Amino acid sequence: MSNPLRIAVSEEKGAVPVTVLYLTGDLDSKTYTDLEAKAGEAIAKGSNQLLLELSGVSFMGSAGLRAMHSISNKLKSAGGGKLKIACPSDAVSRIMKTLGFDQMFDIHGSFDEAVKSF
Amino acid sequence: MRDSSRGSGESPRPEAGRSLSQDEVNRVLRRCGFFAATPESALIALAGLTEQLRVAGGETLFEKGDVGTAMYFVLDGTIRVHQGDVVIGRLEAGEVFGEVAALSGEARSASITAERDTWLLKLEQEAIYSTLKLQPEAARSLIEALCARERQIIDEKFDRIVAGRVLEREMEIGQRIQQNFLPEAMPQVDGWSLDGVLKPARMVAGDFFDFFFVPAVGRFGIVIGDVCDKGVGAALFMTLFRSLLRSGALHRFPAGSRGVSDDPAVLLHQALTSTNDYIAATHAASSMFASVFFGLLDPETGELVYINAGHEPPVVATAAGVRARLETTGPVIGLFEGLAYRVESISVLPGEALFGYTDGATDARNESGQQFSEDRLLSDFCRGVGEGGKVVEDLLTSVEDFIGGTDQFDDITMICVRREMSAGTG
Repeated sequence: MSNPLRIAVSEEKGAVPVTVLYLTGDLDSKTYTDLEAKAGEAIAKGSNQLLLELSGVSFMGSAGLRAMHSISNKLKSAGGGKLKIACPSDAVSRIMKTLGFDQMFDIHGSFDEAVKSF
Repeated sequence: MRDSSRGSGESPRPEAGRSLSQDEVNRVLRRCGFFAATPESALIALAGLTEQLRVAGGETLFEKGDVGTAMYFVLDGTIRVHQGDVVIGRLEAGEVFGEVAALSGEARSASITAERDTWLLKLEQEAIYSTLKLQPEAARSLIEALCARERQIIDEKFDRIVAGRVLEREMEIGQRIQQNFLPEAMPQVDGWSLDGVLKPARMVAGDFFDFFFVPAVGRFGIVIGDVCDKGVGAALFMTLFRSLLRSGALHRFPAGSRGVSDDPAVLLHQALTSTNDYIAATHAASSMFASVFFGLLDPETGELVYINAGHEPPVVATAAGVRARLETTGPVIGLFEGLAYRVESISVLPGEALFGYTDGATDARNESGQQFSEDRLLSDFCRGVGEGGKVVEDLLTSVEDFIGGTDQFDDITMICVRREMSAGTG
């Protein structure tokens, strides 16, 4: 029933280097630990400005929020940093609105603006 | 599958391209319990029928369900016994596998994959049976070894059953304790009827609801919540969220002290934000959160002050339909300190009912994968309000009938707070 989650990582040069995680598939209770692990690897390599590009995510459950909170914790333990979100689909925006993401994370409709905002 | 009589002594060392000598093969067979009583001449004949093979790390030798007629001896390396991703065991030099399918001709009971480059000795069913035919006394050690293996399997099965029962008992105790965190009986409030149902998807639930009187402000607390995830972890957090919300609303500081208010909106806000801040600060590592609708109802006037923290909007409705949806007024609680929550208010009029639910009800799926849906839940609720009776119990039955024989994958909770027609309008 659920689609696997694929995660591609690349670097963007904004005002500061930003590590972008491009997510495709479903971000749910089966896949959220993959996101935690991938972001954990980036943080371990020294990235502290992370952007999640969500345009390829067709479904996000509450487990997505758990993963993002856990990534925020990892950034905090690694000495601080920022986690931002770019380009959520309408379906993902709806769940983010219900859960109240706007108070927890910086969300951008435009990818370029998101990179510039770091 | 694991040989209970693992051979002792040195295993032959692998050297690239090397083959075992006839003597070495004899020793490998002799060390294995299956052939302990095989006469020397028969063993030598059997050794001559073996085949040595090398399996590269990561390569699967056979899959569960395959038909196989050979048994194998591990000469060097490591073999993983598994069913899909579930690893049943690992075998190393001196151990034997595949003997049941080899002797019975039945399908393989598990898959076998080499964890690293592995060297095996293979013996075909035909060779074993032809030896037994010529040397019937060789059957004795074979039968003894199979019996020992059977005993080991029975012992392990028994241990697993005992461990399973202990765990089941623990879960039953947890289930009973968790029941105490839900209202034992629905409170009796003049002019109102309060009702709630909760059906866990597993033995314990992450959903919760609560009704309790708050004397400080003369109001009834109404709570419905859903902790993320399911099972034991969610259940532990459910007891924490539920208790902190209730305690936050009931706790009275000494008269004149700061931080407590007789204003229900302020009290509600304090109870919810202090719960959020405490869990976010104390349990950050768990990344557990809850969506919560928390209201304080004045039974005289019908005024309900509430915060909806990321929960499915409860509705105020009559048989004629939904009059109001109580949309979210802040984020889910438990993750980040210092978040903002707005207190809203609405009056529940005589004849109206407040209906709250968790997504386990709307997202419940039937055998064809269709969802029960919010539209159906709300329209069934409105019809139920018109008919009177136990609305949420009847709704739960409808959802259960809809799910039918498929698995209930999420907890289902519903509450109904209904104002009677004859109640004072304040």
